[in-house]
Amino acid sequence: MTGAHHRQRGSVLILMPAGVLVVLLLGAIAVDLSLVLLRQRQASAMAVDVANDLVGIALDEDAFRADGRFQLDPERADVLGRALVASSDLAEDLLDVEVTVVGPDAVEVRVVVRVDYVFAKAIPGAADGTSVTATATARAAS
Amino acid sequence: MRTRCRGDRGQVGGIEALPFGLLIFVVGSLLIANAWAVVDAKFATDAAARQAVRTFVEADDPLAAATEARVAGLAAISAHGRDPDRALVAPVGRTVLARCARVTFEAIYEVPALSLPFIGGYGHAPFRVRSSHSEVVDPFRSGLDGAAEDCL
Repeated sequence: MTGAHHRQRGSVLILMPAGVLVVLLLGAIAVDLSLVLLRQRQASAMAVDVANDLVGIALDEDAFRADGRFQLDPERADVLGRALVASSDLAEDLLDVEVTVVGPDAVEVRVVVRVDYVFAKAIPGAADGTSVTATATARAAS
Repeated sequence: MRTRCRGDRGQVGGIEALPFGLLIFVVGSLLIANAWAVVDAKFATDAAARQAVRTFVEADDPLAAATEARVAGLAAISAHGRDPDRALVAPVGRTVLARCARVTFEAIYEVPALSLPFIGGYGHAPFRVRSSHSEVVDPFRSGLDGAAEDCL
């Protein structure tokens, strides 16, 4: 054995714990990022369904009865949209909701939802969470 | 230094560090696996609750709608590679297939979890992962009794 090799004996013992910690850290990051993906999917599904509901129930009945126009009521859409979102699974993590009537028969719903990390909280200085945004538009079919 | 003493060098690093490191690795891996199992089950229950609600509000037969919804929800669980026998898909409150009625379904899945040494339990096993989803029955849809103006 040469002198250089002799001096490096046992260095793998130091590298192993470091390697193990790196693997665990990457696993924890993967779980936290999958939580972000989960929340993104939930927010997207909620936005789609709320928009789908609003395009039916937010009809301006007075306009419809006056001349048969299908016209969504922006105020009604906003109130109903916020109520639907507030009673959803994500209500506790909701940061913002916007309901916009973008046409006589179309409504856009935008929700911002907070995501709390699980493992990143254990790392000093790391963010405790982030937010995800989902937008969906629904149009009444004739 | 004599040969015998030189052969003992590094023992502290080997005897204490390796088992301790291995313990941390095993416990940490189990913790991450448990967390991932819960996240994965949440994906499945979200899909199941949503599928059940969609099936219910689109159903043609009010009497069979709840059953069709439950079957669709359990099929979504199965499609996610999960055991439908561990899942429960059920309506929340009184569910009626009527215009403008708000329909909510809940999906629950039991995730078996390991009790981890020196971390404690990380919750109570089994974890009951729960998702619920709501939709409103379209007031203008066909196939239902009544008229849309009754609920607007």
